[in-house]
Amino acid sequence: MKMETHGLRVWYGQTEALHGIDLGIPDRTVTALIGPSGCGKSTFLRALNRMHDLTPGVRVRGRILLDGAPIDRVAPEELRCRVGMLFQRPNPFPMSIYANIAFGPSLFGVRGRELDGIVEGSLKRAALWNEVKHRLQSDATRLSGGQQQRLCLARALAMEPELLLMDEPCSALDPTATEAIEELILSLRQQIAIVIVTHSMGQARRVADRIAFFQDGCLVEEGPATALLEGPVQPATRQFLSRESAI
Amino acid sequence: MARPGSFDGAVCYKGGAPLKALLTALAMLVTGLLAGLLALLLLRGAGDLTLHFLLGIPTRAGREGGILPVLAATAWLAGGSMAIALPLGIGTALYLREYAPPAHIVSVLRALTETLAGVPSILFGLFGFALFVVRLGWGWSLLSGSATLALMLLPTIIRTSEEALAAVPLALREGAAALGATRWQAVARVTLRQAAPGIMTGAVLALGRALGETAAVLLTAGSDLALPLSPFDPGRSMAVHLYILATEGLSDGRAYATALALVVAVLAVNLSANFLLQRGHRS
Repeated sequence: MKMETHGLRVWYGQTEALHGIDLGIPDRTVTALIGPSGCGKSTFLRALNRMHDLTPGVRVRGRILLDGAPIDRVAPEELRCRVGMLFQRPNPFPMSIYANIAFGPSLFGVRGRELDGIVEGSLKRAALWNEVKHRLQSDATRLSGGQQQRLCLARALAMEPELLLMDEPCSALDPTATEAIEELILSLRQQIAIVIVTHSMGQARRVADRIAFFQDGCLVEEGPATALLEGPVQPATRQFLSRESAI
Repeated sequence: MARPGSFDGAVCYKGGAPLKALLTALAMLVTGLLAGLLALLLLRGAGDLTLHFLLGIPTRAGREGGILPVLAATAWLAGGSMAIALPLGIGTALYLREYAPPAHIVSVLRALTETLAGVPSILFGLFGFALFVVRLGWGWSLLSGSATLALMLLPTIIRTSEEALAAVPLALREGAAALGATRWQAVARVTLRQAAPGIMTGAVLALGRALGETAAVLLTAGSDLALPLSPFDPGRSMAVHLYILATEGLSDGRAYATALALVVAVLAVNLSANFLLQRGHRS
């Protein structure tokens, strides 16, 4: 397992949002987290790179292991270099395309030719290079929504993460841009582990190797994607899937 | 920004005509007052406002000659006060916004800044006189004047910087953190950059106030008419020069010409603030 959680519990103030989650995330696979709104799937995702540390009043308990080592033994910054994140809405920094991609590596002192190479390589991996190679110095916030999300993906890939967390990365995108992101997920699957929160069963079907179904802060069921979608074991999963397919 | 379903323009309802007429009249009155003020300054001052006047040395206590030392002192005071107030003000705003200090410290600091914003400038002048001029022994000098002005401008700069920082989307901070940035790296490279236009606007508005301040400067920088060569020299700002020319009846024409030059300077500063703000909104 690339990452595992054991008895992961999260509180927002006095409210317990996750009630002890045990989940393994295998390497070089896409794990999709599905479930109704407010079921805790995003809360779970944000625990994996310790984003909850940034929010006062959030408590996280339980064990999270990355390659078998507890993630709270290292500095959160170090963890986030290994575990990248793509957000629900594209969030390019107010600077050039180049500076956006270079942001992460330059924090660690990468400069010059090496940095140029990382920027080019990351933009190519995110299938954005051909669209922006002639205007790397132009403002990243002027790109279209779909391009911005691929830019953010390239920015995350520039850190060479071993695991990539995606929090509904296509919810703000049109169908064409969504398709582009899904293709990228499938091409990245060969290289790294991906955990994606999605509200679209179609997306889960298209990109996921494994699916975990969350409800009311609990992990109800998880397993290989086809098996879970075709023959869910738990009644709650069956109910959720039939409701979703009816929409 | 117009959103679908929102009213794009004034709300109209029955019986609004008299109210509209009243509001139009009020708006025209205000515009007229401002135009009248500018017209008066132009009428009385434009004749004396020549290059020779701007770059000349004053003689006979300002009755004749130019205002070069006055312009120089004003520039020293504006630059000096900004150099002191900007780091202090932006630093305080960063502390209040980004480092989430205990609530009671925030509320005390905020109450203090709000109160400082309402203190008349003459009190800042007295305080600056007691502290910088006398106690610290800086004498009547541009340094004392700059420090006093800086204290006066701090509330404005703190508040506008805080608002600019508060307007930075959480998504940007999280984005930086997710790439392994420490809190300080995120602040320095993303948050401050995004907030920069707003902070600049506040700074420029404060600069406009610094240019026009009279009482606090008169008490701390003095009113010497010699060309100041270092921050330790005393100096007479444009506003102080205008005050002295007018109250001592030295020269009406020179007073109006100085006033006109001052208004042009303040106007230029405020217009550049607008420009910066618009540029910030576009990007």
